[in-house]
Amino acid sequence: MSEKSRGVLIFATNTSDVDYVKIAELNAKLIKQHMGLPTTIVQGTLGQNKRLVSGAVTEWHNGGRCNAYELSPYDETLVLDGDYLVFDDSLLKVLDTVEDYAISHKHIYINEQVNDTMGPYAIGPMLWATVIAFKRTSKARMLFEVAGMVQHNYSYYRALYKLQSSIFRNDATFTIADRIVNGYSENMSCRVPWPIMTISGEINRMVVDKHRILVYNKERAYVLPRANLHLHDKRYLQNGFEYA
Amino acid sequence: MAFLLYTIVMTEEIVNQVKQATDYQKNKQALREKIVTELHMPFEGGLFHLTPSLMAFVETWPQEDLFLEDVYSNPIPINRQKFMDLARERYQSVMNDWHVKHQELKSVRKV
Repeated sequence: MSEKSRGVLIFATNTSDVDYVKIAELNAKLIKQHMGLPTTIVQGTLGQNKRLVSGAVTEWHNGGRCNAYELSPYDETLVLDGDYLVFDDSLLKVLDTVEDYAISHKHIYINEQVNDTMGPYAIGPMLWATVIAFKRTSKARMLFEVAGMVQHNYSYYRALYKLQSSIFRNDATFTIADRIVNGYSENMSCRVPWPIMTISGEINRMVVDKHRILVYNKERAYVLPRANLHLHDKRYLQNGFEYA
Repeated sequence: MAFLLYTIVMTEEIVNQVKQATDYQKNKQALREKIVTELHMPFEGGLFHLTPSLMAFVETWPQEDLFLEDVYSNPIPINRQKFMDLARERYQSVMNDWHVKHQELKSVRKV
């Protein structure tokens, strides 16, 4: 029997002010270094969106993720946000053991208290499409098909669940899709067991050494372990970070 | 004039140093999350979060073979000895790493 192929899929479409492809390429090098996996970068995603960054409305193309099942050239795939920087091999354990798919369900913001939910009438606890691991099974395919349906009918689902955010969010889309696929129940076998660590807002500097990641923003510095890190400041990230 | 300029420069320097102060509790939390991630061990197709209670349970189980529920809520057949050999090694290594990095963090107040 031939060995199953494994790799990472990152969706990245440049906007007028952020070079998302450059960020994805930077992450692809980290992925190769820490997990030994190839990365496929999907560019040119349609579905222009807007989002608030530091109080300003900015352009954002985030509409392609529901096509990941079709677009992935791998048997076992990790779909990652381009700005979810890979500094360890922990996600290999998820790929080793997941049955159908796994989505992140816990989020820790290091530098601020963020209560990011779908709203008071949500379908359940919010999931995070930042990390999705999947294998080629019928259930995984169904997840992405249902996510596509939710995306195409987003205004309906937004009204149905009274979603707080007016913009399209993959997190909300995959949360709804996951609940539908699992018969409106919470299925912990479809979860990444540990949280995503996030630094939100603008940062001034990031330095990576052998054991630590130092992140400086205008208020403080953070001494983080070398672990996967979701960094929201794409304007900073597109210029890379420093190695000590 | 030169003294005023010197004062301004020094004040900015002090302000910058204060801004670079780091929060031990935040750093500690981030390190703990990393360690918890590391304490997850794949075994026989399942994924287990190594905790003292899990390891004590397996250690004291009277038979060599048993079923354990993994983090995905699946029952995984395990051999007690094989599981414990790997679990002890990983637990000791990760906890030792945690101790070393935690000691380092305690001494860091600014970076």
